Amino acid sequence: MSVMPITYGITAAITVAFAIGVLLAKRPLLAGYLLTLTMVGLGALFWELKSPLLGGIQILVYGGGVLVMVLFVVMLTPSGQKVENWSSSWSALWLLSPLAGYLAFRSYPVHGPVISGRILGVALLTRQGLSLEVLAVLLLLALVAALAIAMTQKGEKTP
Amino acid sequence: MIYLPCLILALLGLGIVIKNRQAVLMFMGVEILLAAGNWTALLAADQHLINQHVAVFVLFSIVVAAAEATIGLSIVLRLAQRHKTIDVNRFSQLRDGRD
Repeated sequence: MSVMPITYGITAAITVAFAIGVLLAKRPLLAGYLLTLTMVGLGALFWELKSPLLGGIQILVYGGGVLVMVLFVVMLTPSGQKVENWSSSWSALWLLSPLAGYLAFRSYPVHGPVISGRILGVALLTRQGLSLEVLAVLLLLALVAALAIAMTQKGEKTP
Repeated sequence: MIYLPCLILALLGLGIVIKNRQAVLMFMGVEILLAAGNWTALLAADQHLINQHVAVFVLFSIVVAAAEATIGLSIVLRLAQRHKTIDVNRFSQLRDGRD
């Protein structure tokens, strides 16, 4: 038996466990940290599915950029209160973690294709050049829109 | 059966959106949902589709999710400035008026 399906199953179980942690977390900041770990786990899953570049991008974008933003917002907004608790019977959700791990282990695509950075780069630059430019413009517009939304208007009180 | 772990992750993301009333925590659920979708797409590449197309799809999905998070979180910041809370039950109107 190959090592890869076992690793894939264990990683899937850990990732789902972190997601359950986000669901059951009592404090928003703890949920943010657990979400970071969930995204890192997903990046590892992508790598195990033979897509190392996409795994790296997943960790960089979600684990890095988006999560830093989420944690900033958690700190900047007046959300010091605790999240409402669920009854203890919801802790049975933890059973989903080994279940997901087992299912992932059983269904690991052993003969799946390799999506390397070279394949992705060639596809992007030879066939999807326009789409790549459109994405760059989208990101720029998102940045400008975020600035415009977050700016304080004239006559408006700041907290 | 290959997609069931992704489905479990997506359902957990949905559960986070439904359970929480704080906008930032709901955002975290949406991010998990999107990431579960990416995982599903990558598994679909292994099963049926052409590799490069799915890889490009996942890459674009990640970028669009990042743009969505940027705008969404700036809206949350704005609402927090105005209402002094990020509890979505308090945001009862879309109109840009002073309440």
